[in-house]
Amino acid sequence: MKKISYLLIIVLCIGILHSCSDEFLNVPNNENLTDSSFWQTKEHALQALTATYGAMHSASGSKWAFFEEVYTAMAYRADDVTNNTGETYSRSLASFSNTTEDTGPYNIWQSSYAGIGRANQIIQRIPEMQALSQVDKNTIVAEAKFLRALYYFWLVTGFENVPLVTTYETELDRLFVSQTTPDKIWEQIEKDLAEAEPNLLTEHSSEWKGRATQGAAKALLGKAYLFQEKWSQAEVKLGEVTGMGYSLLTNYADNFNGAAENGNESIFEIQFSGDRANGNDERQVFNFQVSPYAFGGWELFYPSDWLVEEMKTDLTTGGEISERVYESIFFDDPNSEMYSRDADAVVAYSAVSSDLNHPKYFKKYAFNQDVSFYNGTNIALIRYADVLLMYAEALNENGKTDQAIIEINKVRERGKAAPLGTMTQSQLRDQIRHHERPVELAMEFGIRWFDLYRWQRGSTATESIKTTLENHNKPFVENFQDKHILYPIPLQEININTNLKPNPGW
Amino acid sequence: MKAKKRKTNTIFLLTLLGFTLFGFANTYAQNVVITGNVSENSSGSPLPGVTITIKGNETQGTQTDFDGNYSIEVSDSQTTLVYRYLGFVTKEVLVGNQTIINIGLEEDAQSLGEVVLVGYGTQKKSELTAAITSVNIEEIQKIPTADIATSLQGQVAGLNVAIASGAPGSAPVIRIRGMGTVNNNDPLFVIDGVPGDLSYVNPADIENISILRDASAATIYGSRASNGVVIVTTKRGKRGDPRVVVNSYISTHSIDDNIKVANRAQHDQIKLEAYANVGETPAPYLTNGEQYADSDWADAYYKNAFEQKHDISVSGGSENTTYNFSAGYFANSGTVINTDFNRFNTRLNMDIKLLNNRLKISPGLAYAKEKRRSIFEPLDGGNASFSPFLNIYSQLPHKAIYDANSLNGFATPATGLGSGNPIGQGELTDRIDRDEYTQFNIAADLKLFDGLSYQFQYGLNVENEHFFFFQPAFNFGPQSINEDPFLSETRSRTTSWTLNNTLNYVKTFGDHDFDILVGGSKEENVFNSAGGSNNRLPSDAIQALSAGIGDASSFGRNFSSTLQSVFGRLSYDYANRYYVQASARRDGSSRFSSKNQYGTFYSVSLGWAVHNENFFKSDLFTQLKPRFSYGTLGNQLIPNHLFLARIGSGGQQLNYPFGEDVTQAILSGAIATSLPTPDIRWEETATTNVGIDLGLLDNRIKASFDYFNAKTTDMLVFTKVPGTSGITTDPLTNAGDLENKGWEFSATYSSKQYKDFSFDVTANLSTSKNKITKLGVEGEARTDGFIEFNNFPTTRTEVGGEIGRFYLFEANGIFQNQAEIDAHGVQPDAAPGDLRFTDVNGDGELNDDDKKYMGSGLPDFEYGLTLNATYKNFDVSIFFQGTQGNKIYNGVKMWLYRTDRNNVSSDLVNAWTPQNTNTNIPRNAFGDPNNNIRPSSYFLEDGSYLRLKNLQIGYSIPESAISKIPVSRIRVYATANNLFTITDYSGFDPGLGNGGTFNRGVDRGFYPLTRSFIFGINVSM
Repeated sequence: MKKISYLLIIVLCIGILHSCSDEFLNVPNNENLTDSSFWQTKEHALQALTATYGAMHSASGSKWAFFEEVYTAMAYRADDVTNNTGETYSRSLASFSNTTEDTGPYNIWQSSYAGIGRANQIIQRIPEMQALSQVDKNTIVAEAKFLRALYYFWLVTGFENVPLVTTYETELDRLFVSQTTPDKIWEQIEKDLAEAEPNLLTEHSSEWKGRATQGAAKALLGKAYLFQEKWSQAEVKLGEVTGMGYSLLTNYADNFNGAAENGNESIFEIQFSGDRANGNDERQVFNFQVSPYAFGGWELFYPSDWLVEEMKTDLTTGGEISERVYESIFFDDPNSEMYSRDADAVVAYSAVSSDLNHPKYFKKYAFNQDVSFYNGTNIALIRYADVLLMYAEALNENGKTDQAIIEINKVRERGKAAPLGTMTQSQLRDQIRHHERPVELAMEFGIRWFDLYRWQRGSTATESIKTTLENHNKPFVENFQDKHILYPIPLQEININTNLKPNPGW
Repeated sequence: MKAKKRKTNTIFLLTLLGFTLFGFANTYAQNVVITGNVSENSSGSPLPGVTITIKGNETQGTQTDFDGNYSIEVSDSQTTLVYRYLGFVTKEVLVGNQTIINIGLEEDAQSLGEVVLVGYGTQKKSELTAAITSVNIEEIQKIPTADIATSLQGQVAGLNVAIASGAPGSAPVIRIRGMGTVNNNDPLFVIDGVPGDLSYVNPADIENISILRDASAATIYGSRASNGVVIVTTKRGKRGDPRVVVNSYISTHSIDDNIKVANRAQHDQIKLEAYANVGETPAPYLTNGEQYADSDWADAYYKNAFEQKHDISVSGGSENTTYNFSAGYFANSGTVINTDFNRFNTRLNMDIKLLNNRLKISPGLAYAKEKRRSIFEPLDGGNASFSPFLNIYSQLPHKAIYDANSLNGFATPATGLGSGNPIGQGELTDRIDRDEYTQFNIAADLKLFDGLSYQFQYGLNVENEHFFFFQPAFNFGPQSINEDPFLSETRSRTTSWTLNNTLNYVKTFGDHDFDILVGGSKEENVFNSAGGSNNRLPSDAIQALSAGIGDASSFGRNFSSTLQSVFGRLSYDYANRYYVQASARRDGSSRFSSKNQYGTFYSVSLGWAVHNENFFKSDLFTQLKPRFSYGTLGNQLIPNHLFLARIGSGGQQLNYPFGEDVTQAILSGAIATSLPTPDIRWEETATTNVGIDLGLLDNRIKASFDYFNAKTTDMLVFTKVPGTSGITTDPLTNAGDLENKGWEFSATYSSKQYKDFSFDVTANLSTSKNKITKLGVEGEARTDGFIEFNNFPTTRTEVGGEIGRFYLFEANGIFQNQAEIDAHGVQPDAAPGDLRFTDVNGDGELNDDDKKYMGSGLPDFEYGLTLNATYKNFDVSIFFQGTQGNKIYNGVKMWLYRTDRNNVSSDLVNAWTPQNTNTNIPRNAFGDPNNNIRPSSYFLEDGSYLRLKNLQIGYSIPESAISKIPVSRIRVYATANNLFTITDYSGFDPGLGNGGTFNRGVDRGFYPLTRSFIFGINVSM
């Protein structure tokens, strides 16, 4: 009996201690909001929107991925830039010997789709939120559509054959999408921008500067029309932008030194900040990347020989090299000078020429507006000078060459270059393609290569990309094949999603 | 200072030695009473109840008393005394002229009565049906070390211990039977019955280690046992007067720096050639050479380290209470600048017997405190951060390191040489971890009746960590400026407790032996951390966050997990011939949603002791026991709350600035970045094990062999999803299957006890091979093994192959002339002197389709060989260890073969030129137009090696010489670790680079292993 009562006590004890209550296994989640606790307040909506903009800094948000992968992959194939071959970033893209596994295009792919996925979440979830006014809903959804259009623009101009994803899916087996035709992507871009435009604000309050505006949507739509040679629609849309109160900055250099962020010439910028509080790091690294070793920079890339020679022909009425050229490049010229980070002073070329590793450098973004290390200076995606040049291009293709010259001369005049005289339509076309745009917009984010891309594919094409590159002495142009016009569909992505087909030739 | 310390110690030991050798003389007589003490050889604990008889007259005899003392009368000096004690080797001593005979008895390791640790208990080795290895802890403890896991390397078949980094205090990578999952492969460590962190346990405190290799052994730990279990118990007291054991050693460590980089003249020569070969103007610094320094950065980075370890323990007790108290100190001064490590350990274990020995209460308390100054090392896979060692090796020799005129003593690079002074930055920057670990344990064992007993156990582990990072202001050029002193501190605490309750029933009915265990267990783990940083402190002398005047940041984590389980085990044998064991465990885990919370795991195993059969008569075999087992195990080593649809928030990825000015406000972003995975459930591994235990020639040779085949299903994998989904954080899903099979063999030969001489040899050999049978979505391949950032991937994992195989271009010699290049036809940018890469698929193009699988970092087999010998009072042990058939991608070499602005390998002096064609080093070409450094077989090397891991010679001072001083045993020894390594690998060390799962064998420049010489002493009182 005693034994049994012993046993009973023990069993009871164990029973009590191990009353296998499932409550014990329900551990609170203290670290994350979940799908059911998010999407409740206006703040949540704005956080989601912030994250959607954030993808412009690359999928990981890293300043290195932004510059060393995304920027270089967009810029290095073009004829205005020569990369420093001592550095490996996008080196194989620049020498047209990249493989399908190259990480630059993959980063563009990932960043764009990360942004699209976030925009899709907003477009799906915001309309059903109780906490937002209709106006807020409309504005936020419009911005998401603008961003989705921008991300698709990067994809369609880089890869052409990409999947069209317009809903955010959470079921694993629905993620293995197939590609659609480029036409369908362009259609979506136009649709999103057209829907976004009326709901976007023309201007944001001081604390929200940097969010997309109506002007940005019009300009991007105009640009999308140009890529499709929809000249008349482009003329209309870009013409609308010229009536919105934008203007060119007096000083060309202020576009790149942080002095006029989100200012009069700004249509849309990728925002960066020097703020380091709360563990934040949203800076960009151009100041180091463009600066010579001798100034403490990394000199990852240089202006090409062709660009410098072309720039030397951009003259004032007095026959001197124009201000916009002096503010764009640092080169062997008695008047050329550049900000040196090392010296924290502007230094004349002649004073440092013997220390320089390379004869010419870009100056854009080299200046440290905020003094600490990397930069908080924004990078322009579309600025008003670009809009005027695109508008001029549309006008010229629509047979309004004289009017086009007037628009171009506004840009030239601000850069202190002598106005153009009379030209024929085809002369002006060449002037725009091989002088005005590369001189005004040299090395700027996502400009030159994509210009070359669109000019070789439509009815107004005069020469192949390869011919342009050959004429402009692009190194390794002998490796260029038609397949290099597009990025390869990243092998990393095909490895996962076997529904994807490689791009032609890859 | 260091040298002086060593000298003092040596003098002390020499004095002690002289004292004991020449100190005493004895007188002898016939018909005397011999007195003495019998103790356990290893610990010096007295042995009560030892039978002492006179040889040839076994009826005359005596027993030792409670303190191990005895006295016996003998007739003449030719009498031989025989000392017998169960479980110990019987010893015979010729009396001779002695009157005091103190004897140490050796535990009989060969005894089939040996007991091994199993889950929640012990089992006789002879009854084992599972693949369990009981580690010979004394052998291991002979080799001094700060970390027990490191010394297990090569000692146990099937246990793979790889050094991820040679940094002092760094944790090795432990794998039981290779890789059973792509997930976390760490085994479960159970310390005194409670899961814990072995790295905090002083090796000197360890009493026993068991390695549970197969499922049947480990099922009792169900949910977390799929990577195997390592059970450790710490030393407990034995009855008797207080016994003091002191173990001390001092040692020196040095790095064998076999990476040769160019000096200034070689650098200039190589780089000028590189620029000339592509027709570019050389950088100005190459032509103004003479004005610059010619620094040896690596030499300034490395230093010789001094290491010391001192342990003391006191144990003893009365009939009812026994105790073991120990304290230890370990310090290593680090082999690279500004690193060191020290640890203080203490432990008190007690056993209190109550209720007429029916109840035993066993409290235990241990505390460890560590301080580590370290450098940052990237050991994991994925995006590769840059190794600090590569950074050192790639510094231009032209840059000066020191500058007596600068405020901090370090040089800012001269104009034109770029930025950075990693020596200066390393010396000025403090990265300090101060960690504390407290283990509290209380166990109770109550004998009820009829072989039924109840066990209670509660264990609490508290780990407090503090990380301190301080960087003073410095200016080493524009790219290497820290404008203001920066301080970051993080405190974290992990509290985990385990509660076990078990009932055990052991009963024999005739030939039927039963052992039944049932129990329940609960566990909770709570992690909290809080940290802050400030990027501007008012002065380098101020190191407190509250003084910060710059941007402040704060961060912290807060999560917990729970586990509750019931389990049972039945062991049965019939007539010591047929053994059956069955176990089951049901686990509930908070890491899964309520519908998948519970998992049930079970196993059965069988053994047949053929040697106990009546029909079995063999002079050769003393033991022959085939075994079989099958069982299932789980794995839940995943982050918490993954089953919820979590919203990602904040951080560099999602935040974005808005507003005016260049330093506009940064807003916090939040949105879903991963997929909800509500259905994730237990990963499960089913293992079949077939083994045999052999004893030959009176168990002089003992061997065991095991074959295993483990199939992991529903493997929890961070599944790569298409980028098109917008998902940037891979969701964890049960998306993989894996097979892992292999075998293990170990054998020991122990010689007879010759007069003055005995020896034993142990060899072990093991192999495992894994194969992915499902990974993520169909056809998925995973790329890893990046050399820098996310560039230069070298490995690929896909269905049908091993985890992390090298996937590379095939380099096939050097083009000697343009005709060869034209004939090859697929490398348009090549020039004579460049590497030829094979167009594997022959499609006339060199692209990704031409990459090939070329083996992996996992060896074909690995082995260890230990030889122990004793001659008179000398003992020697020699331990070899090695691997065969593993490949290493020499990322260090690849990096030092680049021709950008950094320094390069001095090999490049011998690069191909039209005049120097008899070389395997491609031409120097700035910008590398042929991409010679692409991931290719050129940098893949054979990582097989054979290492003399340690060699030890010991001398025990004769018992007679120390019988008059209150010391029962003194042993002095000298050890050399890592004395030599035979390998074809040209990099630092073939034993490194094993940190990650998908990037095993990728050498990105890790903290190299050190060679050390040790001098130590063991004293028992």
